[in-house]
This record gives sequence, structure tokens and C-alpha cells, in this order.
Amino acid sequence: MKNLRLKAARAGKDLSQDDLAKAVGVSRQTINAIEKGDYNPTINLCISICHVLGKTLDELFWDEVEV
Amino acid sequence: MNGRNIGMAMGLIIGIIISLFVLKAFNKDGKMKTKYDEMQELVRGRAYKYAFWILVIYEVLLILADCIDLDLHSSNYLLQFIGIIIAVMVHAIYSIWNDAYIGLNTNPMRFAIICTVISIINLAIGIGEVTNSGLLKNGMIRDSLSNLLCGICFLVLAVVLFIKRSHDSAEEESEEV
Repeated sequence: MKNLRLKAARAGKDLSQDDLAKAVGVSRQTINAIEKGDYNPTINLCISICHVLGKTLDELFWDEVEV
Repeated sequence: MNGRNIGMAMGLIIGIIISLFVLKAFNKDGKMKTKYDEMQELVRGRAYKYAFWILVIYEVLLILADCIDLDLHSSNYLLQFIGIIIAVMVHAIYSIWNDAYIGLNTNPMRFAIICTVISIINLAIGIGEVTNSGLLKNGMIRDSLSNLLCGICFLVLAVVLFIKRSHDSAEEESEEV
């Protein structure tokens, strides 16, 4: 499942995938894979991304499941 | 150990030493160790797994061939070298295609250039040997075919890198906001 919230938050900060990748110490392809939903990042990487984008884990990575 | 075997062993040792220096040249920070991120480590683990099983299957096939006295017209050195080349290709192509071959501190352009140069040197040596001395010697495939195989391996890597880069550039334009 695509992570459109991450993509939107990154665009909101006017960062390219490469900029975000460099800020959190991963490759651009890894950020691309996370946005496309092809890769589930570790909690450490999620936290780094949240710090750079100024968002919480819930805002970027939590999926609301309807019960 | 005869002179030919000593030559082969020396060639391999020199190759290993040169490759250590080449590893340093690949990286932007001049360090020998290439850094990978968590996704790349995961993909590379999978690539090593596939390469390992391919090598096991290849070795089992060699054992079976030996059991049924199948003459492969090749020395043990060449047969083992082919196995290594196949496993390396599986690992490298899988890693390249899944964005895990080029490390965080690797200069991709320098990497592609070095691959191409190594390929050309090995292809030139291999083709030269085959042209001058022929492919067979006493009914056995010459060990110098290993140069040709090494050249083809690096050429394939360079081509896959180029295709992947072109594929990524097209994707990058559509993915970036």
C-alpha cells in the first residue's frame, strides 16, 4: 500500500526523495520503496523520517483499521 | 605443483590484491568498506541466499557428472571458476535490480567505468588466448577461458547497471513530486 502521507509530508517540507534520503542516511531508492509501499522500514528509520519531517509516527505510519 | 599451476595461483592472488585496491576506488570516501542501508542489507541477504543455493545446485550437478563419469572436457579449476562466476552473477544482478548493489558511499559512475575496464582487459586476454592458441588443448577446454568468462561477467554487470539506471531515471521523474 502506497504511503501517500509520507510523500505529502516530504513535499510539504519541499524535500526531494534524495534530500530526505540524505537526511536520514539511506539511499533514495529506499525512500522511494517506502513511499511505494514496497518496503516496510524499521522503527528506527521511521523515527528518523518523523524527526526530519516534523511529524509523529501516527501521522506518517499508522494505518487506521475500521473495526 | 607445476609451473602452470603456480602461475594460476599467482594470477589469482594478484587478482585478489588488485580487487582490494579497486574496492577502495569504488567508494567516494576512499574507504574499503561499502556502506548499505537497512533495505539494501535485507535485499543483499536474499541475493546471497539465492547465490548460495545456485552454487550448491551447481556443485551437486558436478558431483553427479563425476559419478556417471561424464567427461566435461574441463579442468577442475575451470569448473569451480564457472560455479563462482555463476553465483557472483546471480548475487550481483539480483542486488543491482533491487537497488542494493551500489552502496551509500559508492560512486556509481566510477563503479560502472571500473567494471567496463576490467571487462575489456579480461575479454582482450581471453579472446587473444582463444584466437592464438584455440579453445581446446589435448581435448580439454583451456583454463584461459576463465578470463573470457570474467570479462563477460563484468560486461553483463555493466550492462545491467546501465539498464537499471535508465529504468530508474524514467521512474524517478514520475515518482518525484
